[in-house]
Amino acid sequence: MKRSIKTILTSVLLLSISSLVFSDAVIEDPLERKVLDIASKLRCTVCQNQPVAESNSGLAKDMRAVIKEKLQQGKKEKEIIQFFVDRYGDYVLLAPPKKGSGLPIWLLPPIFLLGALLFAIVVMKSGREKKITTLEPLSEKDQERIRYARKAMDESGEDK
Amino acid sequence: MQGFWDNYLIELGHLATFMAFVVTVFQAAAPWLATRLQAPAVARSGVMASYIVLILMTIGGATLIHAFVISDFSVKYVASHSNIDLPLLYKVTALWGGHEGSLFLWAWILAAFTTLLAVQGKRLFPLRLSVMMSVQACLLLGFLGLILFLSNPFERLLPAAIAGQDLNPLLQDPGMAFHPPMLYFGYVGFSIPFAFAMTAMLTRWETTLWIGLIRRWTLFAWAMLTIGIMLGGWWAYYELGWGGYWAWDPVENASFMPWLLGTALVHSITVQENRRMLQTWNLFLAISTFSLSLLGTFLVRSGVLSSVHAFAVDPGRGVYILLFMVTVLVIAFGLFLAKGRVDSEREAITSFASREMLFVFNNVLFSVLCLSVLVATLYPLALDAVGEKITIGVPYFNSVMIPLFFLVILLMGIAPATPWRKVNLERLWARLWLPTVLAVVAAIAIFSWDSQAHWFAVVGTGLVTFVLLAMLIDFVRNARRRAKQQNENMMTAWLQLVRRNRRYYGGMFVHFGILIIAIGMIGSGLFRSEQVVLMAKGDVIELGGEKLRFDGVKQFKKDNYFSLQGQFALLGTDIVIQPERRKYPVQEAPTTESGIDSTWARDVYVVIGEVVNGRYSVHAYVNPLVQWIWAGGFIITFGIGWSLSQRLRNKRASAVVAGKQGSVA
Amino acid sequence: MTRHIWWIILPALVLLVGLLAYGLTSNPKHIPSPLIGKAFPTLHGKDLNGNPVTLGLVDNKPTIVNVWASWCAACRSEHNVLLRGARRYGDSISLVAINYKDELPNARRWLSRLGDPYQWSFHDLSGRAGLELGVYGVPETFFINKQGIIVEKISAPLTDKMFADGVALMYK
Repeated sequence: MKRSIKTILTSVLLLSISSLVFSDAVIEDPLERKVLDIASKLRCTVCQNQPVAESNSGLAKDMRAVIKEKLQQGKKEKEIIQFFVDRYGDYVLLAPPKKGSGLPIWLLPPIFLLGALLFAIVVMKSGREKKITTLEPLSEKDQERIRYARKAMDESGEDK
Repeated sequence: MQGFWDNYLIELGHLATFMAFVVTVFQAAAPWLATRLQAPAVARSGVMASYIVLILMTIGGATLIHAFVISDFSVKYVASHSNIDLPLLYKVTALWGGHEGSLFLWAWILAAFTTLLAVQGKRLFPLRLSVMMSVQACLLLGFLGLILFLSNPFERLLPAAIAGQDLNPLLQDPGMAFHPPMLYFGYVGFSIPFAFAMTAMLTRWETTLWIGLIRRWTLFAWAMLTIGIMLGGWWAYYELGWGGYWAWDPVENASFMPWLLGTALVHSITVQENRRMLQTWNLFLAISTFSLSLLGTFLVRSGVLSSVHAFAVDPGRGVYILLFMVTVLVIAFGLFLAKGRVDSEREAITSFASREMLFVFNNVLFSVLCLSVLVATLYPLALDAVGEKITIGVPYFNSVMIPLFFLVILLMGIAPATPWRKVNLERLWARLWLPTVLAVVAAIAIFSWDSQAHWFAVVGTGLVTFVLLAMLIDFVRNARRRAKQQNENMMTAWLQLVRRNRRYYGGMFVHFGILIIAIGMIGSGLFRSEQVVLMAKGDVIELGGEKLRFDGVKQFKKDNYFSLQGQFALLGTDIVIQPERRKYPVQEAPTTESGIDSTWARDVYVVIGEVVNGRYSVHAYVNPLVQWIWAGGFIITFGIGWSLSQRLRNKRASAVVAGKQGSVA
Repeated sequence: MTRHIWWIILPALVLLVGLLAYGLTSNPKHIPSPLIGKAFPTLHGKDLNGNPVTLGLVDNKPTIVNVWASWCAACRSEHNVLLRGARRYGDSISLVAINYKDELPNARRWLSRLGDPYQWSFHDLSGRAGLELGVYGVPETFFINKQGIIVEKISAPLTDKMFADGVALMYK
């Protein structure tokens, strides 16, 4: 009985969600989109940490104009980005290149993840079980002291 | 007489702050003095000292605020950050409009929290309280030293300036006005777990005995940081005009790192409260989280990293903060390496398929996230030392951080269904198979709706669906169980469940808030439309399913600025979107105010720029679901409040201190 | 074994602190140019009087190309350096300029008031020429040797010493 309820629920939900398949996706000017797309990968070199797509500085506007021109000339994204890198260096790329001096920064996060996982697993496995401490038998000296103390108490006649 | 007071009141504040410095020196030295002089009463006076320091610093702060309110331009700080025409609210919030004042605020909050700690400690841990006071005092000394000798808000400008230089227009804004104090509550809040950790290492205090006590402090600090970061993002969104809210900028990262570790700490504390594990790790986390608060303070004020948040930079201040931070780090971590093992026993993991292991993975992920942000923020600086320049910007951070966050969200769905110690995998699957299936369906639906969508959107939607459903199923299961046990109907069961398990359901609310934020980020980050065009009056543009018609501009004067306001009619509605370009004559810095029309479905966001050949440069965006992000922030805040409202049962608290049981605070 | 892994904190701290201390002393704005060692691109355009000119090696002599604008305050401070340099090295080098994103009347007025050390100034109203050269701010100066290779690019106002050093590099 429970199983068939689950099946019915699943089918209903599947049907309702699949209706979304028939709704229209959003359309906009593809050239502008491409310009902003490429511009969002380049850094505005006169700004503090802003992509060319977002900056209002003169240089950023010029760069966007150049990108648009080159796209209209039929240049590919890779060529356009390389154009700027040739003139401004790797600094103009918002994400460091995956080779040379940029390589370490791409490798480090996965290394951190693996390292941390390993560390966690090894450490968690190695916890000690709680020891049940057995009482050691009293030494001779201690037993002597106890006998003496008991004697002293009996002799003094005090209440225990 | 009035004039006399107005002129010299600020000096009273200066004197009070200096006296606070002196008393703090005593507070820091109290335990050591007590041992030297063989007089335990001296140690206890550290508590009284904290009250006095707070009173003195309140006097100092009050005189500063007073100076702002009466526009006393003989005070250099007031002259640099205020103006006669400034609205009253901003005259007060201008207190933290610059370095000197915001450092003073930091110090005041530290003094206030120390006093609260003293009140709590007198009842719960009187024997170690003096050491804790000393730790806090040392921290406060660092800040007071900076304030009094390098960055003094009480400095006079004689003869007084005739007019003030006005508050930075970007800060004349409700969001920005409260962003710094919230952040500072968070940063300073993490000093409390730090103080506990330091005291534990200095006095051999088993973590089990106090870990429950810092849970609420940690939650509170985390909540404040969350609110502060959210306010910053919200402000950046509607104020800065680029339609976004987070740029992985070094200053933003500086606040994000303690947030990440703070999240890890909140979860690892829970593990230690349920199992005898992660004691050393908690110690390490408590120290590291606060260290990141200090690092954040350094990064932001020293000018070491280039950032959009251009704070005024002073290398002298930078050197001081660096030295102070190094001292704290060396002492704290040195102590940790030498004496970090304050606990005797540690349990081994029963099974890797257990809730504690999932929490461990949570900590692994958040630690890796934090470390990655730290390294990425500092890497350009490191390369600079070898003579190379690269940029690590948004595309990098998105590629690295988002997949890790996806893993975090996945854990969020699995953990509530997983019991402590060991889970029966069949039972777990029985609870999670339906969310999994529907998650896949949702992912496929998004993909078929927009096949150009980035894979982040597809996977993200699937994960969010998974967790939402998993949480719902968990809630229903628990309610059903309670309804059966307590003989209640489902409605009552639900209500009572949430009311009586505030800690747990507060946490669930917070997780829910995170999911809402995730939905908002997927929508606004991955499905955004934008256009940059030149528009003449009457032009219409179309984007993201909306049409905008430019109807010219209006010009007017208000308060302390002049405005040029664009009129954009949103076709199909009565709404007119009105972005502005403002000029503040005193500061001469023009600012743009974005025009935004918000609904739960999307924001239409318009920025008006300069005139080119008689046409206005217009940058327009449609951001779907962006308001969900701020809504999520509210849900998180409510969730924390709910969790913290769990009533403490006093008898149990004392039992914790006496070591009779693990904490339940 | 796992206990000892905590000691990784030590070198990490040292690295962090060292890096931050270094950071306090460095200037985060200077960008090294990838164009050094490459040939100066040939760019055609007009000078301030409308005559056609070509940027690159001029008169087959090592050439200095200075980027300036009338709206640039820092350009003023280096202007006398350029005047002196033009006089001292006049015959052995060519000195031309790019007038970057400037209106003609403003540019002409600036030169007539302060003196014109250049053989001519390429008028780059749109900034495209600057973009071709990786210019990101004003003033900047390129030093081109006899083979047409850029031997140095300075992204700051020139001093007499920089001028002299640049000339030496051009003749190496």
